Amino acid sequence: MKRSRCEREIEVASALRTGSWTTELNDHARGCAICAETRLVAESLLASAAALRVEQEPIAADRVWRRAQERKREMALKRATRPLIFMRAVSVVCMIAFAAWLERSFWHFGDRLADAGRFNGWHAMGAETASMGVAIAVACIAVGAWYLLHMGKRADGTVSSM
Amino acid sequence: MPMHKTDAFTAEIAWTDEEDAAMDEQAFRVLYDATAQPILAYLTGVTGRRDVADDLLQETFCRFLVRRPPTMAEDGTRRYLFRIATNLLRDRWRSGEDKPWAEVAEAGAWPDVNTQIDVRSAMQALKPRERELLWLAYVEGMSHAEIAEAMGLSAMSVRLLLFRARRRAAGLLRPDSDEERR
Repeated sequence: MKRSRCEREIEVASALRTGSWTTELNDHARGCAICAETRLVAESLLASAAALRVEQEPIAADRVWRRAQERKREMALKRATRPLIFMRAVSVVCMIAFAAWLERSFWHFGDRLADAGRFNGWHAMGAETASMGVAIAVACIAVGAWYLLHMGKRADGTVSSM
Repeated sequence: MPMHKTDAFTAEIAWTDEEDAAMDEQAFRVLYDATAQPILAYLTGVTGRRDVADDLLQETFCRFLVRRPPTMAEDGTRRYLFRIATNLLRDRWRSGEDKPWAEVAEAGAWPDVNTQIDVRSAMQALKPRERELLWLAYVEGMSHAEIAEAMGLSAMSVRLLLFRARRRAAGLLRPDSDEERR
């Protein structure tokens, strides 16, 4: 059965990289098919790598640094605007819920009071709708004001520590 | 720098950046000088294209800076960078962005053109993963465990895949060998 591994294979590869090639290791590599194979491949790749390192100059470090800073800013901005996006979604949900409630109330009161023959639906739901609308508006203003005050305090702390 | 209180979000962002810039730019330059060239050689050697390698090099360091992993030893940082680069290469192969290799222009720093063409042809004929394995093992001198970490494989798989890749590469570099005829 053909061997797939030699215990000195790593030593051969390392010697090629570092140049610490001994006569004894050389003799072994000549007689060992696996090490000979390793030597052929490793030597070719090391020659390729050496040539590439001489030929190529990496782009300037400050260019990479600037790009990373821009990326960081974009990510921080995205993080900072996340609560606003969340609030917008919440307000859309509230509006939909309010519209649904309004419609339901209209039909409910309309049906009940139209039977009595005295009011139509719009008149009957007036007081309740108005109070509900006011309650939602007050709640939204309170949440918004709290949020802005909270962010304002954080900004004060940040600016004063600079 | 004057700053308006009302601009809450920007103030916070600017503060973070100023702090990072003051502390890290110098350290980054040192790290970049020590590691950019071997990573660029790895990326060029594996993709066969300088333009792609340049893009991936920038992206590798950008991701490193943005993620800011906890402080690690120099060797650990180097391995971490190779890991990011390998992940980027894998994303590229997966999305089918395997552009053809650039033509050999001139011998450049190579001892001779024939060797250059042989190595390039062999690398091109190998699978992307085989190229990565061989480069990390023989050029970067990584152990099986380190390669496994960089490539997201098990150490046992690395051993087997490396053996196959080496055999295939040897066959391609020595076309008259038994391996190639099989």
